[in-house]
Amino acid sequence: MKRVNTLLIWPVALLAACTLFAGCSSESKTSDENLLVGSLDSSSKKYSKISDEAIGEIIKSIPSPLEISMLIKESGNPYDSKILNPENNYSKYNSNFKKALNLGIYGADLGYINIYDKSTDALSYLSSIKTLADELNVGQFYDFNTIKRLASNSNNIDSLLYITTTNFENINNFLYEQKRSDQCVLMLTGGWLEALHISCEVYKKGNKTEIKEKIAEQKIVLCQLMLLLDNYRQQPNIDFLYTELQKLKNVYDKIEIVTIYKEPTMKEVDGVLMIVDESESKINVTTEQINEIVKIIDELRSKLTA
Amino acid sequence: MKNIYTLLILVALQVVVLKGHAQCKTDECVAKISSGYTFLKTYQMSQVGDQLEYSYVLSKDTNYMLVMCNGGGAQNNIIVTLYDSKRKEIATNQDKASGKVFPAIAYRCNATGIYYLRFSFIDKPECCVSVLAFKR
Repeated sequence: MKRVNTLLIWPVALLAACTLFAGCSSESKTSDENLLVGSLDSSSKKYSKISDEAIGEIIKSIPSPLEISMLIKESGNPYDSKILNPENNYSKYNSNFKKALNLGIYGADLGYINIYDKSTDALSYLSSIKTLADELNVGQFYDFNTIKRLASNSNNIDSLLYITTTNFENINNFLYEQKRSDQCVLMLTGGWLEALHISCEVYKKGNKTEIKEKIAEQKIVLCQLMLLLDNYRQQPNIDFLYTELQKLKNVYDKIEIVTIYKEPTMKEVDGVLMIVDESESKINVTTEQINEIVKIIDELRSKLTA
Repeated sequence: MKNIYTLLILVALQVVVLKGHAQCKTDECVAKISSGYTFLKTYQMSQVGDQLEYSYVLSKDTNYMLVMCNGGGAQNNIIVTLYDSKRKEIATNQDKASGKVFPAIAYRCNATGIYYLRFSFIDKPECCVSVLAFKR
């Protein structure tokens, strides 16, 4: 939340940072080990610093992975549990970095499962989520019993989506207020990565134009997330993640999104003002670029969920 | 006697604190989302000022609904204006000709990008909550 008169600065900072990122030269590619060792000497690196309030604003702007899952379902793609992070992987995650990141990944998986109304899988994933949330001391925001009850009846799908979404929203708010924004950012990054991974898996199977565009559009969210992660690069794990995402950004930099602006139209329907955006956006992306993104995401997700 | 005064002061302080951070009930606002939409996000405005602003990445070919609620029954004292990534005004829930304020807007997005939601208030309600939902 912000007051407009005092905080118009952050969008300018965001724009400046994105411009800065766009102008970044690609970093040299080294082994993961070297990256981790190198990042220990973080004092010599200069990372962009943005205010806590600006971080809170950008966190709120990150879209929900549910939107992608809904698109995938409504494009006629069947449910596939094999593309999700196996629910018993949670026991492998013994650092807060992996716990927060995979809590986000499991959250996106749960959203996908709920959209397809697969209550048995939902219950398995809920258990893993509760464990990771407890280990990060945010389990109190996860209403496990209510969710479990709702998941056992397919008529409760709307309530289930609402409760799980608000639980994650409450965790994010709590982490931000407790000055644990780094964990909040990792959760959001995990959720976004998983939604992109699911999209890539669907793309590999069906090669559908709509999914291809959705993958390309993630350029905008990637910019936001890297801006957030850049703030915490003094932490070796986050520096590693940032460097990996930079490889992805190098591909996204070649994708062009052009918007043609037109005045919207409006009409009142049943007391609701309906606004139709007449603008159009055109995405210039090649199959080769999408294939490169698919490959990078595949490799990165394997490292993060291992 | 001294203890009673201390207690009264503490109660009074708590009332002031609670009033300053009054929160509208999100559930009641979510119930006003039209059928077919899926809940996405809450904008809980506990300290209603002159104007408040949030941003969100909206996606192409998606319908969004934004419902505004305050503590009371009427919801016509919250004005929201939607801006695109270039800060161009897209729409507002207040009809500029008649002055009528709509408690909800539905927006069909045709261009993915960062959008800004700016809230302003008539008579400054005690609290304000807005919920965002979507459907394909």
